[in-house]
Amino acid sequence: MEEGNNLQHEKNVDLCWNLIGVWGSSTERCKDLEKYFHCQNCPVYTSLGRKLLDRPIPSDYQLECTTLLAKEKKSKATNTESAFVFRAGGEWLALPAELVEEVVDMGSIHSIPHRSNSTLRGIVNVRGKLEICLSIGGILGLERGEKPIREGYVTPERLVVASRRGQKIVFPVSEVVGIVKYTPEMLRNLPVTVSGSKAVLTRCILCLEDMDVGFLEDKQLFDALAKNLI
Amino acid sequence: MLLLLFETKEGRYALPTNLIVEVVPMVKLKRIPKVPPYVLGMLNYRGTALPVLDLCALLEGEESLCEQLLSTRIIIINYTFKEKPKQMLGLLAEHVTETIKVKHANHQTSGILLDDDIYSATINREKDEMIQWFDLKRMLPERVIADLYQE
Repeated sequence: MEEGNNLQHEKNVDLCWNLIGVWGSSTERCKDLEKYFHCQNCPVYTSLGRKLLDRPIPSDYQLECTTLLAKEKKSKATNTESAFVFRAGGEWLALPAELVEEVVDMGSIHSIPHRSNSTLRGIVNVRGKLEICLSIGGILGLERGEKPIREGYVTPERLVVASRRGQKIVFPVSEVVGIVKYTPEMLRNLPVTVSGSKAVLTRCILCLEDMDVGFLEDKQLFDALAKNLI
Repeated sequence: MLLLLFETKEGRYALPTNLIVEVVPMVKLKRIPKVPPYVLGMLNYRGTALPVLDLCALLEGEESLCEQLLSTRIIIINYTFKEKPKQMLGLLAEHVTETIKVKHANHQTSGILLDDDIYSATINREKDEMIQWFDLKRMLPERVIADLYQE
């Protein structure tokens, strides 16, 4: 520890970076600064930094390392995939993350006369382009849930822009969780009691720590939404 | 090519990082009786016991041992045998704090010095320093290492 104090002492007094380097207040400047721009790039600084390790090993540190090293390493799962998790009405849903292009602030949805229905909401302006706005809740037959389901901060309604093989859809969501990493073990099969369009459009259940999310079948979903446009 | 630099009392060596499993701090080892002095003991590496050799003692004689400093670390490597399956081995060396990147063309065989390869590399871009290539099979002959893994 004494050595550590010495270094601390030196640092405050006469190390070159505190005198003529970037942390120095003298008008005289180190000529190497032109070459390295910052003391952090200078070999003097680097080599003195490395010397900090030339200290005796504290015995408690060594004991801690010994026990840590003896334990099996918990490897992080590497076979993860990402899902975009959001809430539509009262349901938590997920889409493969690669389909989601962007999430933008909610704009006003202009309904199309004689065409708007529960699925086709209308037209929205997304970055200056008019896009057709569809309703995920409408196609899944979900009820509009106004109450936030989670405690605490709830994000406002947003518009999600997703595209699959050149087919672009925009849909409003009640809440966005964001991108969540999952492993195949976190996926569960759909309960057999689920039926109707929900069952067709849901691939499986994604079990996250605090909620279960319906993982949407993207191909069927995009096909079903496209059908509404014809 | 990325090389890990380390030192013994007398010299500086470079080891290609593709042989390295992990670099770990100098931890407490289980001493074993009746082994050569360069065998420091057994390391419990995530549930596997592996022998740790002191490179200072191995390369420079039995009296010198690596100093017990924070920069003295155990380099865990994979040692491949001709006939037996490969084994993990710990090497204790001093000043295991730096890696360098070099082009493979810098690697010159000296042809002298008992046929050891001499590695020349520029460190800190200022001092041109000779660093010896740590050739695993030459520095740690197979029969010496095989003795550590007797069945």
